Amino acid sequence: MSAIRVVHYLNQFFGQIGGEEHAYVLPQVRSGTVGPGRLLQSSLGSTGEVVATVICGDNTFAEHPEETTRQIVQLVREYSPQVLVAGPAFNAGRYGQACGQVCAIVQAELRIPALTGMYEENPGVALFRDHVLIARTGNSARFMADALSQMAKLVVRLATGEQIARPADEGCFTHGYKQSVTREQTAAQRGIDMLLCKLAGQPYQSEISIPTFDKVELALPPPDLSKALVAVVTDGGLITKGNPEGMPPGFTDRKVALSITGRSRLETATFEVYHKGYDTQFVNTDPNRLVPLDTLRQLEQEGIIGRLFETVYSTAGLGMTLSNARRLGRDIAQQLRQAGVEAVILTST
Amino acid sequence: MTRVATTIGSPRIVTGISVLHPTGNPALDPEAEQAARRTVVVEALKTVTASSEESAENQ
Repeated sequence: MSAIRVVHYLNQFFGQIGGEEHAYVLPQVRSGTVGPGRLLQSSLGSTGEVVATVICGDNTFAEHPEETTRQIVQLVREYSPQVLVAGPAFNAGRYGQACGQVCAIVQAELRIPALTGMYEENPGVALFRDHVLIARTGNSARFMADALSQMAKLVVRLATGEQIARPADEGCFTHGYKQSVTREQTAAQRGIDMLLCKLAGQPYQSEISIPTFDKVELALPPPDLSKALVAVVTDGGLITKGNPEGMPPGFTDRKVALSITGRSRLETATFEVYHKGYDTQFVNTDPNRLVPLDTLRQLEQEGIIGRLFETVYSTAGLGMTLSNARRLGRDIAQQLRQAGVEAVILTST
Repeated sequence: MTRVATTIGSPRIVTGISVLHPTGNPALDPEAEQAARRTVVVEALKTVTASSEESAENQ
């Protein structure tokens, strides 16, 4: 079999143009390998040839994704590769997004397999994992050799037309598809077998992965509540009446920022509750039963709390995925922190 | 729902009046409901200002 033709995509840094100051370089191509491409080539050995390297600045890509992708696809097309390899991007966010996007478009338009590599926290993973094959890598270029060695093996398989059916088994991120598999034993039998192994202290493989929850360090309390800026947040689905923001009543990744400036209580003329996880009739009759603005204003006037923060962040917590909850939580926390909020009450249904 | 919060490891949890109305009680007359709301809110403020040691004890 003749050597597999591979085109390699790199950013300005790995493409040896320069650092951040060169992040605006336009898409360009060099024949053969550049930088880590040499490692990719040696991992491929005689089975593959990196015929060209396409390089583009991370900022160019981030700011003009469609136009830049078009140019990149053109450059790739001219070399008629059988496989495209992008990165690996490790934990670099803009680079990861560029790699993911390049892979996605190349596989769609040039109809060739594409592969990239990222660290699990790279935002490119969440954005592209469902339709791009992404190898799991370490979190920095220290892991370049391992990553490329793993990716080279996958390149060879992809070039034969193989569909990687179980990415997790090959050190890649799952696409998130469920496949039905028929087993000889019933679930009850398999469950009992697992339990017996567990009781005997023997290894066993769970069929379901149990999510782990982050351990979050306890925040320090405000030194003096009577001087503190206090915020209230809710996951009970409080919204502006009529839902102009179009907040979903659950299964969402969004929140709304509701202004309570000058309000001494939540009035039904201005607010309502939209959440499909509980019977909202009581909180719709009186939204202060969900977000106790009236009481908090009294406490503010009495000097028990220093001041109430003027924005109530609200979402509908029904069926919220852990990853969305984490992201929303961080986002809200950051905004509150920037505003100088020292304590938060989250009301939850 | 407090059990869910505890399981996940939330450190400062106050049990509200009901899932359907955490800071309200439609079964009470308005005055009594205001008092109940205040009790919950004050409890929440006490909890959020508790020291690390006190919070760890309650976990």
